[in-house]
Amino acid sequence: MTPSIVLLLAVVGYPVLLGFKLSLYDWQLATIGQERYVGLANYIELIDNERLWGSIEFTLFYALAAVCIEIVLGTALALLLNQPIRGMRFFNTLLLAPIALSPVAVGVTWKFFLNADYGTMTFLLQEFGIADYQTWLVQKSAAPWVLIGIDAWWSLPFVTVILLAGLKSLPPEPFEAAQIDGARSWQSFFYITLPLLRPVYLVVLVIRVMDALRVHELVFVLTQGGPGRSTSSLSFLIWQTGFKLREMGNATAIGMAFLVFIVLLTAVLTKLLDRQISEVRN
Amino acid sequence: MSRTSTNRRTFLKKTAAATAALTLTPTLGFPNLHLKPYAGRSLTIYQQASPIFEGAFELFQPYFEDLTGAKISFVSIPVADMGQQIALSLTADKGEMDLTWYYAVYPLVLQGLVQPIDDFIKDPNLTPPKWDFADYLPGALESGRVDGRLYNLSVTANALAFYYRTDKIADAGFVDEQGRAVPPVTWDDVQRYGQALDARRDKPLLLMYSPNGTQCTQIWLSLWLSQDYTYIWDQNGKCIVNNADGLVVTRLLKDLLKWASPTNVTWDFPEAHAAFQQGRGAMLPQWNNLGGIYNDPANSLAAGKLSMAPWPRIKVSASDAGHWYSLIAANSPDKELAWVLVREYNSYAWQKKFFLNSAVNFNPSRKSVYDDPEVKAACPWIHAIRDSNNNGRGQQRRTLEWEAVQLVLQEELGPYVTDETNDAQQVLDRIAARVDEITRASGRFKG
Repeated sequence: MTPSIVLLLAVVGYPVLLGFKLSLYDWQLATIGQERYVGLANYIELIDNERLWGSIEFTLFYALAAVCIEIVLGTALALLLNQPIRGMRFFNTLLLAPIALSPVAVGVTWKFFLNADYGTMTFLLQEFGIADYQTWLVQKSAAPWVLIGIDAWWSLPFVTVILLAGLKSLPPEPFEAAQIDGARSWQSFFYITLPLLRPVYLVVLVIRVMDALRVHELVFVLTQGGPGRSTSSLSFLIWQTGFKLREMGNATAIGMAFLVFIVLLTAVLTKLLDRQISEVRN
Repeated sequence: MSRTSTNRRTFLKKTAAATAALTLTPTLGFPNLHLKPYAGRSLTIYQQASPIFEGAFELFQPYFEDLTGAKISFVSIPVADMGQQIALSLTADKGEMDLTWYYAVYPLVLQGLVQPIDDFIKDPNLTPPKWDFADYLPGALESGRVDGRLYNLSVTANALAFYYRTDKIADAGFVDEQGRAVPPVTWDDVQRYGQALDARRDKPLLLMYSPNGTQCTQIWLSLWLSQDYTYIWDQNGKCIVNNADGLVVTRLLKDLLKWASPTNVTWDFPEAHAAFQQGRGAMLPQWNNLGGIYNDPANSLAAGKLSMAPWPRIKVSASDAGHWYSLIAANSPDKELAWVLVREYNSYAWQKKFFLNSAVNFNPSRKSVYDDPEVKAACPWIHAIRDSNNNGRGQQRRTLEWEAVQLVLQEELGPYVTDETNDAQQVLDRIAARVDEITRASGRFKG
């Protein structure tokens, strides 16, 4: 136990404490060694930081929308893959392919796919007579949904695999009893499957929400936070503030505030999960 | 004479002869063996990962290593990472980097992280008089001076200029008495040319506009500068872009899209660059160091059919200038050797060689290179390069706030360009308010 705690303190605890200390300084990237202690001034500045509130809004919206889509589609796919259909192993393999890709590779590939002049999407739109081209990545209303869609495409295999494992682990008796009682398949799903899968959903929710809140690579590769600030996530804002605007003190303060938020959210979700697991056991 | 003294004399003669032979043999037997002045020393250059800069290094490395005996190595860094990598090296006790070719330099200079080069230039042991410092374009030198001290001699001087297809312009009827294509001189001309060429179903204008990139703001900025401004703020630090001139410039930015491809709003530098190389379009506002690439048949379908003009004017011809500076690290253990490197590639011979190499095509900073007959013969638009470099106004980049200001321009102009908003005055008022906040925080705003 002690070695694990020591390792955790070294790898997590020390950087967090150092980060908090740095957030109390006015620290420009080009003046390392000349930091000036300013106390909580960096945190107070966050209240009026328009960019920060915009990023919080986008990040929360992104996480909520992406995870909802993934859970709904993941459930549908998991139910489908749980059927004893011929060739399902092949589809399983195909489905899992995006998991192997790095987020930057995903972003670059989709950037080419969505290119308004020579992208495959443009070709498909023209082939089916829908439009001559699309400029979604530079439209304020569309760009966030494009990122959400790409995230859903990329994370869906992971969600599906977890839900599929959950489905396979469900006891058959409740379903047999329901069948005997004449329950329809949708009734079995809503009244038996979903409640029994609640802990699994919570696990998926915790993992995916944490991931989605930290979105950076897709934003960096596809939109650079634009158009305007419509796709600026919190992680991207931290990078931009620290490395583009060179305000490391401010960037660290945003990072610390983000960390506190993530920890609180994780605590709430974990408590919910524990309660669900106890209920299921009882 | 006794036998002993004879033997001694003989011994001494033989010893002297043997010593002379041992001393001279290496030199006579190996006439190229001589001590290089900086043998055993080394330099590391940080540079953007780009075939242009890598090509320049490959060209220059053998010459410099042979001249000095020193070894030079080149670290290629993606441009998005360069700023932080350079800053980390410069602020370390022992940074890896001795020299960098970079553009966003003034925050580093202002923090004392870059070595001034005045003393190297004045030292006759390090800079021979024939090196002719007075040969530099005044604009190029000015870009490297901060608070009276010189920090830079650019490895390449750049400003925005105006490339055009001579064949398409001539076909549209814009020719002189000799039948040669006449480029647009004003932005009204650009619109007129755009209309004429568009009527021929040839979307003529290739622009870099993506609101997700920074090139759009450089076009806007260069239009603003051509209203005869040097800064977007007045002498009290107050942002003035929301005046009548700013309104003209911002509306022009959108009007120009009428003559561009409908997908142009998604285009950043790579798309506009590739389109011209593919032979599309007739007019391309672009950095003036790319002529060699556009005119190389191996790289471009526009080769042999293009020319360059200075930036069209509204009131004056003046565009954004972006030099690639040679910066010697203040924490380099071998600043003298780094200066020798900068001195050598800033010589007449090397500036000419870099310019004439189509893969490198660095713009010279020396006036004499622009007048060289071989250079003039190789580049019919050399006057446009010289004029755009001399008229370029990059002063605004010499402020600590510039990165933050550029971000504001990008965030506010992007939605206007993509029709999320059509109220140019409101966009400019927002820009002015946000820039004033930045300059107020920096202490520049006296109002």
